[in-house]
Formats: sequence, C-alpha cells, structure tokens
Amino acid sequence: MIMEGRRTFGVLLAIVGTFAIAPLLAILYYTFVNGGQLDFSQISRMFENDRMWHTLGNSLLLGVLVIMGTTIIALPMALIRTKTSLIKFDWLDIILTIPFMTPPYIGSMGWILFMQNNGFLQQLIPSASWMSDYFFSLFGMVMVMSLHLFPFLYLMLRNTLLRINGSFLDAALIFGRNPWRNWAKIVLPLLVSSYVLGILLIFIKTLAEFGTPATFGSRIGFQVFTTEIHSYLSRWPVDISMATSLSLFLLSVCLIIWYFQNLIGRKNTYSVLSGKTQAVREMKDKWYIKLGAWLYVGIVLLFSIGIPYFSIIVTSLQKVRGDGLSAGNFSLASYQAVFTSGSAGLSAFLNSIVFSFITASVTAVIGLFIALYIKKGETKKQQVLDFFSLMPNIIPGIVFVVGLIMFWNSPLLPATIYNTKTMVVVTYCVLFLPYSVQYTKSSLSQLDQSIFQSAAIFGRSSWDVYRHIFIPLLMQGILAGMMMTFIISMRELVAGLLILPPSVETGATFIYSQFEQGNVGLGMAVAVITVAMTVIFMFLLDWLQKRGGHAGA
Amino acid sequence: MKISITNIEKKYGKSQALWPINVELDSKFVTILGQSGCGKTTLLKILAGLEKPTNGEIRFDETVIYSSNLRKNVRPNKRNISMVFQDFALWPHMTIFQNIAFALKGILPKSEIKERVDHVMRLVKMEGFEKRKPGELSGGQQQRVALARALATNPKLILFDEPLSALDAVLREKMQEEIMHIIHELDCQAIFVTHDQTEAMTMSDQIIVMEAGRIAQVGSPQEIYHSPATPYVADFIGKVNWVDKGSRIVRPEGVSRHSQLGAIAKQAKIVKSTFIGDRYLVQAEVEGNQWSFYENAPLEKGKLLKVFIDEKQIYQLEGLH
Repeated sequence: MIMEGRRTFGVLLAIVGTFAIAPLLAILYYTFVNGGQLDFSQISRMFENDRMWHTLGNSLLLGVLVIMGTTIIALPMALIRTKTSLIKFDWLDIILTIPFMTPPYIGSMGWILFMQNNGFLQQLIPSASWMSDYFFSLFGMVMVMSLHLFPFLYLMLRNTLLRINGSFLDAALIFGRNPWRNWAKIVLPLLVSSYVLGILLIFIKTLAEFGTPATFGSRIGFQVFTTEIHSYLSRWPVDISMATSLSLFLLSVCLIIWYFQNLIGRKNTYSVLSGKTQAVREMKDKWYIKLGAWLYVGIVLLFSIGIPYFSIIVTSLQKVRGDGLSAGNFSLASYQAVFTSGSAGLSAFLNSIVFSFITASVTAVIGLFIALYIKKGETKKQQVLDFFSLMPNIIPGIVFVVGLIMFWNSPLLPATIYNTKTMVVVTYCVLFLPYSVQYTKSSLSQLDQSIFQSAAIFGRSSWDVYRHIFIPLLMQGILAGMMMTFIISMRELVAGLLILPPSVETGATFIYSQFEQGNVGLGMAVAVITVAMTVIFMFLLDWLQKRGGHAGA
Repeated sequence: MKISITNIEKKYGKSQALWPINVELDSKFVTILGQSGCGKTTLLKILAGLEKPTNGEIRFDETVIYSSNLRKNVRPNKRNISMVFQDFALWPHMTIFQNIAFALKGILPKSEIKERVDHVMRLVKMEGFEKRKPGELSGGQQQRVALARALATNPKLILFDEPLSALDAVLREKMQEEIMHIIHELDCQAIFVTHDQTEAMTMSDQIIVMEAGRIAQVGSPQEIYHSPATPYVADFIGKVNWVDKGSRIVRPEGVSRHSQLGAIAKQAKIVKSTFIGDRYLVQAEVEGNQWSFYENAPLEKGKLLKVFIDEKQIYQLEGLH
C-alpha cells in the first residue's frame, strides 16, 4: 500500500512538528521559563490583572451572544431551505456563503461606513440617525459578527435536516399522531447534536476572530483576547510575556471547548446517513409562507451582503467623502490610484497574491502527502498526524502567530527567517494547512477501498500509482483546497499586522491601515477588488465541485 | 379489504413516473414486481400517502383515501396502514421500545403499550432487545424491529418497500418465510415491492408486474409464469424459450429429449450444461434462439440432437403491445 512506513511518518511529523508544534512549545517556554528558570510569576501576574478578567468576560459574553445571533439567523433559514418550496433553489446556498467568505473586517468596515455619523444611512434617511447610537454598541458588534458567521451554522443545520427528510420523516408521517409531536420527538432530537457541534465551533471562531473586534470593537471600546494580545505586542511598552500568557490562556479555553465538542460529537451523532435522502418532492406552499420565506431570505441577504457591499463599493467610487451621495461625486479615481504602477496599494495587493499563491501550492503538496498517509485514521500514528495537522483549525490564528514569532526569535536558532517575506509564507502555511488536508482527505474518502487494492495489484511502481491514479483522482479535491487556501490567505489580517517585515504590506493590512488613518476610498477600492476576486473564486469552486460530482457519478 | 386504484398517475415536471393506473387488489399478499425505475416504489408511496399523485382516486373498500376530483387526501397516519422501509428507518436516538411505542401513544392506554410492544417483539422473535438502540443491532435484527413497529398498530395494510434487499441471501430467505407466516396469521394485508422475481413468486397471492410506469400484468404467480401477457413479462419471469419470436413460448419444463405423443421435434445444438444442484441446466441453440431445459446428466458441448416440445405446454401470447 501507499504512503506507509516509518520514514514517511517521521518526515511528515518533522514538518508538522517544526512548523506547527514548535511555536506552541515556544509559547509555553516564554510563559513559564524566565532566564533558564521555571517561573510562575508571569502567569500569576496575568491572573492578578483585573484587565485580563475583564477581557475574558468580554470574550465569553461575545461568544454567547454571537451564538444567539447566528441561531436566530441560521435556524429559520435552514428550515426555509428544507421545508418550503425554496428547497429547489440550490443557488441560494452559494449566495448565502458569500458573507462567510467576505473578510470579516471588510464586512464590519462596510457597516461602520453605513451607520456612522454622516454615514450612508443618515444621508439616505436623515430621520433614522437615532439608530447610529444604538448600533455602535455591543449589539451592533454581535450583529456584524453573526451576519458573518451564520452561513457556517446554517449549512450544518441544513445538511442534517435534509438527511432527516428521507425515510426517517416518512416513517414519522406514517406512525406519528400529529406533526408537532413528530417535530418534538424525532426532528428536534436528531437536529440537536449537530446544532451543539455547530454552536461550539461558532464559539471558538468568535474567540479567535480578530478583524471585527479590531475595527468595530476598538470604536466602542470593547476589548477581547485577540485585540489584547495584539496591543501587548504592537503598542509601547511591548509586553511579550503578557502576550504569551494571554495566548496560552486563549489556547486553553479553545482546547477545552473543542474537547467538549468532541465528547458530544462522539456520543450523540447517529448515523443519520442511514436515512436515505431521496429525490426532492414537489412542494406547494400557501402564499403567505412563500412570501414570508422570500422576505426572510431577502432581509438576511440585504443585511449580510447588500448593506456592507453597497457601502464599500460606493465609498471606493466617491471623489470626496464629505460630499455624500450626489450625482457628480463619483469617479474611478481610487481604482486608478491603486492600479498605478508602484503605488502602495498595488504592491500590497500583489504581495498578497504572491504570498497566497505560494501558500496554496506548498500546502497542497504537504496536504496531499499528509492526507495520503492518514487515509482513514485507523492507526495511532495516523491519528496523531491527523490531530496535529488539523490543530490550527481549533487554535486561534493569533496564538500561532505569537508562537511563530517567539520560535523564530529564539536565540538558539542558527539562522532565522524572522523579518523576511518567507516568514509570512511559513505563517500562512501553518495557519491554512488544515484546509488543504481536509479537502484532500474528503476527496480521498470518496474513493472506494477497491481502488487502493487494484492500484496495489496492477501498479508497476508506486510513482506510477501516484501519477496515474491518485493524483488525477484527487485533483479536484486538491484544487478546491488550493482555491480555499488562496482565498483565506488573501484576507489574513492579524498575521500580516504582526509579522510583516518593515515597509512590506499585504492587501489586508493596507485596507486596515487606510481605513484607520488614511485614504478610506483607496482602502475600499482594494477591498472591493479582494472581495470580487473572492466571489469569483467561490463560484469557480462550486463549479469545480459540481463538475466533479457529475464525473464521479 | 379491497384496494381500488383508479386512474392514478404521477408526473415529475414533464417526466411521467406513472401512467394512469387502474387496478383492484383484494388478495392477502400482493407483490409489485419490476426493475428499478419502473415506478413500483412511487406507486407504494402513493398508497402510503407519502407521495401525492398528479391525478386519480384511491379507495380502501368504499372509503375514499385520495381523490383529485374531490380534493381529498387522507394523511398517512390516518389511513390505518403501516410501512417497512428499505433502509429500516428506525429513529436512531430512540430505544427499540420507544421506536415501537411511538405509534401507540394516544391510541392505546399507557398500561397496554408495554404489553403490545412485548407482543410484537415476540412475534418477530426479538424479545429482550427493547432497551437497545438501533445502532447496536445487526441489519437482520433492525429489519425485525422495523417489522414489529409496523405490526404494533394492528394495521389493515402493511406496505413493504424492498425490505429485504439490504440482507444477505440466507437471512433473506428466512425473513421471507417469517414475513409470510406472520401476515397469514394476522388479520391484515400486505403489499410488497421487490425487484426479485423469486421473492415475488414464493411470497405472493397476486403479482403486479410493472414496466416503465405502466402495469404489464396482474395475476397469480402461476398465471404470470404460465401465461405471461407480454414478451417483457415472459422474459422477466423465469426462463423462457421462444418458439416463435415474440408470440409463442415454452418454459424449460416443456422441453425434453424424449419423444412423446403429440410432441414437436426440433434440432438443437448444445452450448453448455451447468450443474445447478439437483440436475443440469442445458443451454442450446434452437432455430437461432437460445433455449434452456433440464437434464439429469450433462450433455457434451457442440452435440447435435433432437428435442421434443409438449404442444400442450406451448403458450400463445395474446395481443401484443
């Protein structure tokens, strides 16, 4: 069989170990060791700090509120897409994932531009200006984050509901006494486990989120873990041990939640798959259900895509921001400025493309080998590698970034990549390796066991087997993973802010710095280009997966 | 109970899953037999009320269950039927007891529910498994529980949607017998969907053969085998030897090497002999057609010989489609 043996494991573990595990060990080292001595004073200093407890409270509160927010948006949406005639409009799913793929800081910038004093809302409806005060509060922050994260929960709920829709529900229709009891006793219990898994992941993602707290939270003075860590590292006086202590704490919180998530997942996931999904039945709704459903979808799309996209596009097209929405105030000047060769915007954007492309290629290769080694994760070694390679998914990006900075600054290293562009690519690779591993693994899991066996019997050499059988069969998954990695590398903000060498910028840091103190129009022009590219890639990705489905059938 | 199906048809958009179907069923054990995609499961789901027909009427005795003209559609749970699903469809989060008791709440007083569950579990020989969850049972055991759940409400009609296709051959035969036995013991009817002609032959009193959304023939197993209505049915059920292509057939039992009074002689060239346990199945070429018949000893390949057909056993197909 392929990709087995001790040497492969050793090589792969060494790669993952150096780049993903060593940074975490570096955090531990800098937190607990001071001058070669074990020292707990730093961690106790953190626990004595009132500000830390305040931050913890803020982070947890935000997590709970975002869970509520995403539930309010995602649950009705999942019901609408599975129980009404809207079930046939599969294109809605791609549209609904756009908010999730939009960089969160761009989404919140859009909302800030729309709601702020003299923003678009006040220009369009002057009488609605009272809303601004209410919006710039924890409520607004939760809303913006929920609008970004809800697609994730929605897709999980929708898939579970679709699977229950098969013979499980048919059996309930025949044996059940009334629809409410069927709903309470059969649909709800089957839905609960995937709901709990979904919201725990939402909680972790909220804790790990940097973009929205950095743009929106800083405006309303709402500090969370990620922004605290960032400010300890970037504002004078730099306090490294505080940053590592906080990172360690955040890491522990995430690991605990992840542990519970696993526990629940193992206990309560039934093979809902046994309920055969069947051809979609025709559904006819009463007019008010249809109207209500479309209205709901319309409002969600307006809030999650319409308003933020409107704001960033219009801002990028405005000549003078103070002049507002008037006919003569539009031009392409910002775009011209961005596309002038040698401009800061263009070089930042090109940097992003180069970094993202290299990251996508490197992770694709490493991800392929790891996925081929892990296969179904049956042996201990395979599970270990699986766990380590997916770890960056559970651990907040900023923790890894802090760890990488500590590790590559270590005086023990003979040479360092710190303060070079390589460092950026390495960081991206560590952060986004899980995507490539997951995509390749999932397309590997779709291959029947017999393909491995026939390859083992008929393949003349293992190189032959890779080149002619596995790589072509997995190509679709590899490409999908590459595109996904490219998209999220393009938008990565916190890594860029902390590790970019002096005078180098990426698209994301350029947008951020222009928005905070500079030419907002210019920043938004780059934002629009980034977002447009993201959306195009998403449709390509969808097309790629659909095409693969047809070829495989 | 007499089940009357009048002009029931089903369209999915433009494609016609069922052409208007008219049939009356009153036998105890009815099988709907056909290849995949012939519309047999659609018809079953229409009877269950899980699919809504585009047109037509269904009556159970004199009660209208569905009528497009009267705009009447009785809910699945009010039709006094139950169903055994192909994938069992036992709810995975409930114990076996809860799965079976689910349909009983509200129609039986609480004190009697346990008694009834015990009773049906005994019928399917699964006593003692009540506290398990479906995931802890084997496929065959899950199938028995699914049957118990279907029996629990004392339905007038049980619908089976290819319930045995997920089981292995030995288990399948055993379950066939047990299902037949249970149905014949109880006061209820069964409609059984399958693509397996042996299953249909052994189990049913009445068979509906379906082809591409239409009924090809309705009849007892004997009628279907000896007097197929169309060439499709003749080819689909059992082995067939065409005396005249498309019009006259004889089954292998009607062919022998021994001359009889009133037998027709034909020249045959042996293609191969296969041992099938109690005898040999001989395949031969007769007037350009592939024939088969049974022999007690193998015949040499390529051998030319005479075979005799009992004229009484030749069947003339009526009106061709």
